[in-house]
Amino acid sequence: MIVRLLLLALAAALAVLPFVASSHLIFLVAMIGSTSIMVAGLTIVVGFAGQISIAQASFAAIGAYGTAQIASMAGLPHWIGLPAISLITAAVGYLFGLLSLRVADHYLALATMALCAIVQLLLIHLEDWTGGAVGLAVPPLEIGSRVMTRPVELYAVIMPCAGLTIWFLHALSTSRIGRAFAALRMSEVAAAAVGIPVLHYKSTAFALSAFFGAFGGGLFALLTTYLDPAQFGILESVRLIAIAVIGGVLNPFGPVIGSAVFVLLPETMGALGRYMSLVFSLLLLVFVVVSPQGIAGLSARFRGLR
Amino acid sequence: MLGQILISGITAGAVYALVALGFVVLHRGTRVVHFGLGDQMTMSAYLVVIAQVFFDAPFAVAILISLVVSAGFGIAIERGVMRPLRRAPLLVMVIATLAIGAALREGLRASMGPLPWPIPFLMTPAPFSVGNLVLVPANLAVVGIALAVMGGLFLTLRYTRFGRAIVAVYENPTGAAIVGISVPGVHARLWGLSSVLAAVAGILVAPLITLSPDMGTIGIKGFAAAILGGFNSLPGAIAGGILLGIAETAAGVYVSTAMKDIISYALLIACVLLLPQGLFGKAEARKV
Amino acid sequence: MRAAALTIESLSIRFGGLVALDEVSIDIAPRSIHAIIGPNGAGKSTLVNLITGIYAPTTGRVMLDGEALTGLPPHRIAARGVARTFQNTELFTELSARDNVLIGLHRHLGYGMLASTFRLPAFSRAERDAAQRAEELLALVGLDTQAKTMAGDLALGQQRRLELARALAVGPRLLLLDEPAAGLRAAEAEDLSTVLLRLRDEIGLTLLLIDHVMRVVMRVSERITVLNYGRKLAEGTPEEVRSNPDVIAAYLGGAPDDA
Repeated sequence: MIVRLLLLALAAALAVLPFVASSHLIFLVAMIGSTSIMVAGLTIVVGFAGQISIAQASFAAIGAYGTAQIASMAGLPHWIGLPAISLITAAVGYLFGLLSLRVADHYLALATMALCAIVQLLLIHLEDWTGGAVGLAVPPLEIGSRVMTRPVELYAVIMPCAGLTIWFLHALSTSRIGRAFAALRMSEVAAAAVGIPVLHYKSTAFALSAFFGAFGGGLFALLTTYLDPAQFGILESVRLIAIAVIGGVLNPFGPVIGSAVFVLLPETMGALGRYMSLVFSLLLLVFVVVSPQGIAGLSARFRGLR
Repeated sequence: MLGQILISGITAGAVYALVALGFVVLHRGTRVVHFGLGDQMTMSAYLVVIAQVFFDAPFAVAILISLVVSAGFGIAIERGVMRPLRRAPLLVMVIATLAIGAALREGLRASMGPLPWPIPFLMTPAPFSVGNLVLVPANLAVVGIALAVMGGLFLTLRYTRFGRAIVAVYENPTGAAIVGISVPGVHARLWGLSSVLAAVAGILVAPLITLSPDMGTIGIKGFAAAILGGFNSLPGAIAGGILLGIAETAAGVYVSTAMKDIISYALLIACVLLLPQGLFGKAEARKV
Repeated sequence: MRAAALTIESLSIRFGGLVALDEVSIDIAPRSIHAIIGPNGAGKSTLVNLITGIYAPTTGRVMLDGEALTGLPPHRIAARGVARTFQNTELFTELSARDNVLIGLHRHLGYGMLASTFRLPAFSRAERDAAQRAEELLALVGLDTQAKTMAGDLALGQQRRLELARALAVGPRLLLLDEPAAGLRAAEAEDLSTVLLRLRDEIGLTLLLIDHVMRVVMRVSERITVLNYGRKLAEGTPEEVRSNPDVIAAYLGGAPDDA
């Protein structure tokens, strides 16, 4: 009951925000929204299904560059191009999963790291398709005849998407598929013994992470309007993992909490802003050691539960 | 041409071999793969520069300081991060080591700046010829020092109490504990040892490529070399490193320098997916 | 589901140089309780892992009601109606007892992501039915009061029973039990025997039981196969096996473990 009231209050606050806040704050909240979607993918694959993936930045890159180039080169508006590229990325994620999820832990980490490195190198070297190291301008979002470039307009698109994503996480975690992911996480042998096709489900988790990574990446591209290959490397993948863990990797709200910390922390650090990444990495380390369930798990800890 | 490739390849390979040893030494004894090992290489190289530039230490002393601090860093990680996590699932440890690497990288970027720092060469960069091959003193220095370090490692493992305790824990942790060897103590030493190996690799390689906070990416290659060599094998790690160095250099010459890295990583993925036991290792099965 | 017949034909497996099973053939009649006993290392758990697809045999095959199981991955074998418990319980320790059983019901729930995301009637119906079935199964094994307890917090005897409930949730025709009586007190072992007999009689299952605890084995089994060093040493009714001199000799000249 309390949770529902809080959610209602949050929704109301978000609805009112564009009317009272500065353009900069609206931009930041929209950034929290798009980052949450990217990170939600990791909540599914790393949190629910317990598989390591250091390739999330690559899926975001495919979504970002993909939707930008589909709009530029094929003339398809983002509201068609982005869902399309996200579905394609999901398929890629599934296929990569089939290949690589036979091996676990360290080897999987390495395979996903290598994939991330390769994608970034391709972004830099395939200049005709990606603009190369110089970067790529992102065409603005057009719905019908309306060109949406102001933060508040993008906010109106991004926040509902983020809300739906969080709902999806909740629905997933309370369904038989979410339970199957949890089973995989705890004992693959037992999961197989009750009839759960392990490789297929792991690959599905990967596909879902790719979908949300790409979708969030595309929205991120619309916000930042300029893409740079340097934004999509291994370090960025680790950063997304950090956001997922700090927010709470098993909690549907984890991505939002983590993204809020990530986006708002530099704003509070002022001149010390260049230490932001260091602080964030240290935060990740502290949370991993002390409270692996992240911030979302802290309230449960205080209540004496698990 | 082939000879030239071998020279460059073996030089790079020697560095990869050292990093690979760092991974394997640690993993065999503690089952942890330290994804931040590459970034420790960077840290160690920077420590040399810091000691020299900010504390006016002579070169040899700076290196010594770097090695000691690096070893201490590794031991601190074992005590502060790994020991509390010793019963955690592997996924958590992977993330923890990733976090350590990221923290090192970002810390260096914030304090030393994102641009490359100059690091003095161990020797002159002047090339000289042997037959129709062109060599640089760095080639000899890197390979020579790497060989010396590897030799030192093998001697330590074989002939010192410190080393024999490590081998005992490799082979039979329970048995080792029963005869009174402190397994956590050995873990701490393994972290120290692995950090020193990475430190040497970092100091050797920094003058050859550029010293920047992102230099640690080279650690992935060391990991790849370790896998190629059959992850739990020390000689395998060395062989894997050399092979990778040569293969990579050859790719750079015969295909293109742009594709060199892409080929390296693609080879890595292929190895991980198709041949996880590497060229020299045995596949592991879990008993149910 | 009808109880199934299991046929093991000339099954062999080697691990490197070690021959763990050597041309073992066993016929298990439907709706019976068949036990496999033997000294440690005789290959009993290996046999279970072979039947459930965790290992692949070097030669030979396993048939369920005439259809080959060999070569199928574990989840397919489970789909054919083969469920098992584990020697070291493989429960989902961070989930509740109820959730463990619900996961056992996974395949029967049948709905996809679409239905669950949009909370379609198919989803709600399936979840309701599953919740009910889970309650029934927990009650069957006497864990209904522990439904919300985390599996990792249960006592050993309770964990064993939970694994059984989860295996039953799969809806098997054949149930493999890997040392279910190990470490149980006499009263608990007695309860286990009763449950096994009920499973055969009331639910109509075929049971393959691996164990050392002779009190249970002798009480519930109709036929017993004795393995030694990966080979079949003897086979027959409990009385026949108990008085077989080779069997007695294999257990080092003494009477088998009567714990």
